[in-house]
Amino acid sequence: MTQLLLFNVTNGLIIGAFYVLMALGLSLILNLSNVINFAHGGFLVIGGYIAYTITPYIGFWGALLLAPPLTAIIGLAVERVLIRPLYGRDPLYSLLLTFGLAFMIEDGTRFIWGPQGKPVTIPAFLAQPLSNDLFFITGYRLFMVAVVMVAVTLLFLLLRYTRLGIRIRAGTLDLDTVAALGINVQMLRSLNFAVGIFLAGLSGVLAAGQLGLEPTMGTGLLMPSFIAIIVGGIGSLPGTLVGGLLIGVASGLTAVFFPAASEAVIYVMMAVVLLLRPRGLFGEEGMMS
Amino acid sequence: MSAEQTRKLIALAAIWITLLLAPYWMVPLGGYTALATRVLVLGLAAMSLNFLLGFTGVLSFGHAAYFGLGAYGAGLTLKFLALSTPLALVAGMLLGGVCGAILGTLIVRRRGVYFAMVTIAFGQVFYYIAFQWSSLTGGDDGLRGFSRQPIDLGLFKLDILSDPNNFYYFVLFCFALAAGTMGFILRSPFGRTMIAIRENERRSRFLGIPVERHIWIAFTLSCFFMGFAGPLPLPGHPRGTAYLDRLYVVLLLHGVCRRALRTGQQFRRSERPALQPVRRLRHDGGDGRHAKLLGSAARRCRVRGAAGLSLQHHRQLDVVRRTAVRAGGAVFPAWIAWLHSAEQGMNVLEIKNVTKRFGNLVAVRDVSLDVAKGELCAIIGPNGAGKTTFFNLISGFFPPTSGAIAFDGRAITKLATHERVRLGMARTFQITEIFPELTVFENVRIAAEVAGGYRLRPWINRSESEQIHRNVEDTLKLVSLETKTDRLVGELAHGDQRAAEIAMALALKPHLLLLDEPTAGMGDQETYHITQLIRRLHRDSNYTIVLIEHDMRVVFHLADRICVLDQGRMLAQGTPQEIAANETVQAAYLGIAT
Repeated sequence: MTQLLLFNVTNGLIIGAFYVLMALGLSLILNLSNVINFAHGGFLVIGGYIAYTITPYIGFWGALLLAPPLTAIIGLAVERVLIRPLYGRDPLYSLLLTFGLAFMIEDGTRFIWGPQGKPVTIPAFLAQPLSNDLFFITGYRLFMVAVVMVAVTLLFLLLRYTRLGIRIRAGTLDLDTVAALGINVQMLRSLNFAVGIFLAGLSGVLAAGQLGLEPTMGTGLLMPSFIAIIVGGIGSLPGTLVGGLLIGVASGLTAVFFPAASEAVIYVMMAVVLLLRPRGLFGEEGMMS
Repeated sequence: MSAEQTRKLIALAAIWITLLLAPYWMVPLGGYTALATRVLVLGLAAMSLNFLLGFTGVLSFGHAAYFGLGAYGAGLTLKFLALSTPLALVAGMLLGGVCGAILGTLIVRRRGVYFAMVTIAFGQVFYYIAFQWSSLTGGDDGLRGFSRQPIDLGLFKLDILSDPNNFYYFVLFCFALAAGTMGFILRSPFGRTMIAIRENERRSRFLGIPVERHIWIAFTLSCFFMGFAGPLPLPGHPRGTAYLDRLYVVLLLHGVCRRALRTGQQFRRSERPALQPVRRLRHDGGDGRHAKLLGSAARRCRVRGAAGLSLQHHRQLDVVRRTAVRAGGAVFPAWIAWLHSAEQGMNVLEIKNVTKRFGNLVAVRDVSLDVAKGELCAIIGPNGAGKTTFFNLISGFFPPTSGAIAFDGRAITKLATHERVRLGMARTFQITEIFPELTVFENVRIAAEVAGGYRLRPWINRSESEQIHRNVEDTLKLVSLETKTDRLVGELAHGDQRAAEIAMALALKPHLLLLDEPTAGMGDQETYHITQLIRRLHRDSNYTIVLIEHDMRVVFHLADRICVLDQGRMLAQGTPQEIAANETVQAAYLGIAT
């Protein structure tokens, strides 16, 4: 029993780490530009499919390095053409746009790569279970966690110490003042969007290695990320981090006792958080309300 | 009847005739009756959503869930409880509505983006439940093993099972019923409070509308309608949650386009873009100091050619106006009697040692103030002195860190804004808060209906309505807006907008009127008119008024007593003469070392 419990908690943490990667990108875009990117799951799928396409030529490691920036470039183009005209309007407009965009990406990938699931080959040594007696956890899962940790650390360093990061943080607090200080806000939004989509692309590559690829996989992974943001508190990146891990563990634990509810439990968590602390665990009072 | 009304009536009649005849023209055109039925069902779902989005201004992305719940409720009733279509419809509606009501309590605390996200998430919860609980719901295959039942009307049975035309007319009947109910609610005092919330949430709050509760009611009603629509396409699509997903974009576009159109007009009418960034900023900060900074810049471009008339020149006009006011004042006798009642010694407002901290910043420090009945007390002070924060403490925008506030002898320190308004406290804002897309009359009517206790009423009878009309007209006469009743407030000149805002406050029949910089951003002419208005309210109608003002001419012209705030402290208070002679005050204003 202890072993089962431990296994599920570890597994939950791993899944949670994955949600975190996705939710951080979503959160970045939401905080700065006030855009709920419903197409974030779509970009994840694009990242995965790009990895699938280029793996035969440059291998998994090459794809891991190349697919996220390629996704980010696509994201930049989308931002420039579709989303930019909607800044400054009610967030509803961009929400509707990305809502439609998610469907377009889903059908687009189905059109290009077909509706059947596609596998992405991962290096053989990562596919092995680490230990057969203790946990049945593959090396790939640990590798995922490592990548997430590196990415999150780099992201926080970027936000903390680089000029771009400081501007993004300032813009999150008050974009008008940042503009008044002579900073190109359009550029800032674009770069911020690209960083967010980069993270989505990275999640896509990682997810492809674990789950394989399907055009519809984006939506299923998007909802938990939203919940991670709500639980953690809108406007707080550390909150998103904690929120993602929490819902991962919660759904892992529920899988032990009541498997049917393992997906529903994260929504219950959200309800509890909203009831007891409407702004989320780390959210600032008055943010977004 | 105006031309526009006639056009509307004709369009409406055309739509209903088209719908009534649908089975007869659709089939020859290559359609089928079931398609027409589906159009109606989706139309009803869209109307339910628009009931919430279009009139309260909050967007729910999870409404498909209540549609699905309605369908499941009805299906399960038919399967396990009773073979009765009306019962199934009611059961579906109740399931959708009750679930909406329960979740609504969680959801309405949030607004905007957050609201949308939370509703999406809850929508997903229902999807998962329907999906996973396959023993009850049939899971992915949908609920099976039941069918529509003929409706027994006593005289004859309406066969809605096998005759698609009968079913179409049954659905059309339900559609008309729901549409009629919605129309009825939207034309009621409650419906007007919904519109008020959409137009300006803060103003609504300060008219005494408990905004969260009203949004909750609107949300719940909308869920009931959704739950009513859900069972109608039965059987076949019990999994409404998934079924509606993609149609959502269509439903929403309808609502959003309408809003966009309206907002566009509003922008053209009243040069609002200049003020937009200010409005946004003001919602971020508590004390509005940012807003003042930007607001004055934005307003500067609106100041019209000043006529250069001084206050002195127009004093004689006072006498003429005063007679007019008296005529208007006779309307709310009981309340006017209260205003004039003999207990002059009683304090309307008693503030004891209030302090307000924002983190390390002490915005208001240990300030006490008593305002006697019928007094006009002006609060002045340099920028950043804490005047607006002090006002916000009085009106309940936020609670004080310490200290106590009593109003009419009642402790109100912990009361919410709308509760204070109900006790008789009304305020206006530094940056005018109005319902720009409603007419002057409608603006004031909303206030009058709330004050009359009708805010939750889904109907209003003729005599009550006439009473409200009279009140509104008299209030408008009081502020000299009686010739502009049918103009949109957003179209009016700045001074008239201010007057309209004051009229809304007056329609609440307040015991205490709080005016935050009533002449801010006005030209000399407009300043003069507003000053005269306040003077009339004070001298002739005997209102108790507390106001913040920067224009010293106005302050010394109006005030019985002046309070000077500086760096959050009460520096001095006294008659205008005393204050003018006070050296500390001079030092604070001019920066002379004492």
